[in-house]
Amino acid sequence: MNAVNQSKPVVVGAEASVPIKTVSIDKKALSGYLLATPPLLFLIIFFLVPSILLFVASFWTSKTFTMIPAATIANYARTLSASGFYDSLWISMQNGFWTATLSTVISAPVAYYIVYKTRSNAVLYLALVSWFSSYLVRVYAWRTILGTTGVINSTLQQFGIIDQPLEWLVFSKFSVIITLVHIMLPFTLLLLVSGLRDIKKDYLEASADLGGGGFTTLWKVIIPMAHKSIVSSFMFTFVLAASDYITPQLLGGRDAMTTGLLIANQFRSVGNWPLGAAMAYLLLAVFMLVYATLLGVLRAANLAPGKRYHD
Amino acid sequence: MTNSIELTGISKSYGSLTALGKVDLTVKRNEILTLLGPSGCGKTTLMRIIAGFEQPTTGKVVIDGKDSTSLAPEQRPVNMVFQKYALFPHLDVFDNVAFGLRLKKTPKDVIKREVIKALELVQLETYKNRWISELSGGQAQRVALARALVNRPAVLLLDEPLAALDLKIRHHMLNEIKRIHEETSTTFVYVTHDQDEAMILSDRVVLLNKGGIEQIGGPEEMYWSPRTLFAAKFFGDTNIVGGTYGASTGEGQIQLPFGRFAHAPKVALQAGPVNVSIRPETLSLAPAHGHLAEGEFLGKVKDTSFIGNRVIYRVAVAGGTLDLKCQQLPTPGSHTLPPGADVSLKCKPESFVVLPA
Repeated sequence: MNAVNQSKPVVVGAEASVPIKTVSIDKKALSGYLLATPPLLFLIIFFLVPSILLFVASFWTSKTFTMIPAATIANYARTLSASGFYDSLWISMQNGFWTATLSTVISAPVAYYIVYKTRSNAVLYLALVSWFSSYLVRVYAWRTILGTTGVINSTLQQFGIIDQPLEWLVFSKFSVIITLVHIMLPFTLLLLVSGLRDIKKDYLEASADLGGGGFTTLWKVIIPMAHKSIVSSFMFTFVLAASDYITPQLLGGRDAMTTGLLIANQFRSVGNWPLGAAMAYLLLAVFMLVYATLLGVLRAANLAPGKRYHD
Repeated sequence: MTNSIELTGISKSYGSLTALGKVDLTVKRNEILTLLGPSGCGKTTLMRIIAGFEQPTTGKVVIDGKDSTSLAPEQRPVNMVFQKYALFPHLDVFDNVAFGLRLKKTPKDVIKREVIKALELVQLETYKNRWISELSGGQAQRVALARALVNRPAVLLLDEPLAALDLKIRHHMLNEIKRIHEETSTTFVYVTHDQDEAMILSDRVVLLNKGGIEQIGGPEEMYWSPRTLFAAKFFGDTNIVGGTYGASTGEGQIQLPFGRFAHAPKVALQAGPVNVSIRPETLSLAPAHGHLAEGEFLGKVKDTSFIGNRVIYRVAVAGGTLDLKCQQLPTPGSHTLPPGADVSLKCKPESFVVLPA
């Protein structure tokens, strides 16, 4: 409508609206659709269609690397009745929760500094530099740092602070989470920086002007306004860390069997694709539950926008 | 205690850049004072120093009789209306206005009463449940006023509050701000770059230029008695004409390119070259006639603009070496003189503003 009206400024009034409606397509909307088409097609072909196929396959049965079409919920039932699934889920959820919480909490003051305290992007670039090394290199680097003969243990031993190397440093939950946090930190930092950039300094000054100290401004203005980027930063890293199975395998010790690994095994070694698909969809359901819980918690704590505080 | 704000020796530099240099300023209780000047003159910096968002490099800020130089913004009894309103988008109109009172742990029923009163003051009481995104620019402006005034500040700071509004609403809001000032009897400090806004609104105008105060005075004083060339040019339209005062031309005489005029200076004036500011409306113009009376001189109309309530002529004088702007009041039936017409001009030497060159 807009484009048409602009091209025919002479036409005025109700009677003119009849020919306008018959005039062809809105150019603005058309160019929008054209721009959105390539990524949309990509998503449909490589994400939506395989996801639907996988969902359908989760109701099939399997016999040594062959899938047999069926309509059974046996795969779901089997997963939900196996204690191994819950054990793996517990490990995954811990990895996800601690990684997402620590990454978001550590990134927040850095993002605040980058957006409000300095005009240079040096700190941001510095944080992004770690992306120039590969995932595996970073995992092995942590193994070297945290190992029984690693930098930390040998230093502590040399200064006589400990006699025996600290075994829990490596091949433990601790080493998995510290590595995942290191890997995820740039993501959360970028998301929080872009979220805070939308909150102009005016809002912080307005809060101070009305009597809000630093802490009040944080809780009553910054967090509610940055709510979306905080949630996305948390969920993004939660999903990535909870479904990760490389780092837990290399650094997790007894805690290596995450749900991600369980699912991967169904596809790679066991060859039961329908069972793997069912597990993947159960994990997806758990993620959605976590998302809903997070939103609920933020809302209950008055940290989400859209609430009225008066009657 | 009659002063809301006393600033002494305020300066502000950013590295080698000086934004403000040694400013002394007193804001009287209940007045509307405007800080006026072109961009980069330091007016915003000065306001931000009063609000506490900037620390002065030197100097003392006294607000309401209390030295506030080192107080944080949240500890100062001033509130600000931001240029882009800065209303919290996650809160509705009521909660935005209640923000300051809630932080002061005001009882709930008092908050409700005060917020409604503030919204009534800006005539938006029916909008209390609206979200900020549902407001027009003018309404957002009113909410911003209510949010600041509800805290009963000793001083209300307004940072170019009308800059984001279109012309029609701007005039309306100017009158609204005047009305609200009368109803609340609060001291207003108003920052603007628009001299019309400053003239309409102010009890006193502070004209700033390059980080210093150029002149302080009431609107009429600023217009008719500017003390510097900058001040003369900043308010309204004027003709600046170079000339000579005294000495060779004689005591109390000013030699201008188009004649010699008797002028009794209001302030002590050194003999020598001067700049004379002549307001276009102090020149009168008539079709050229036979002889020139005392104080009259000849010119030729270069162009004319009829604007309805006034006609502006550009007239070449002194043999075409100088153009003067001349403003006349048209009356029904009067004819605008065409370009090329020979005219005789008459000036009022007593309205000359003579400034050392």
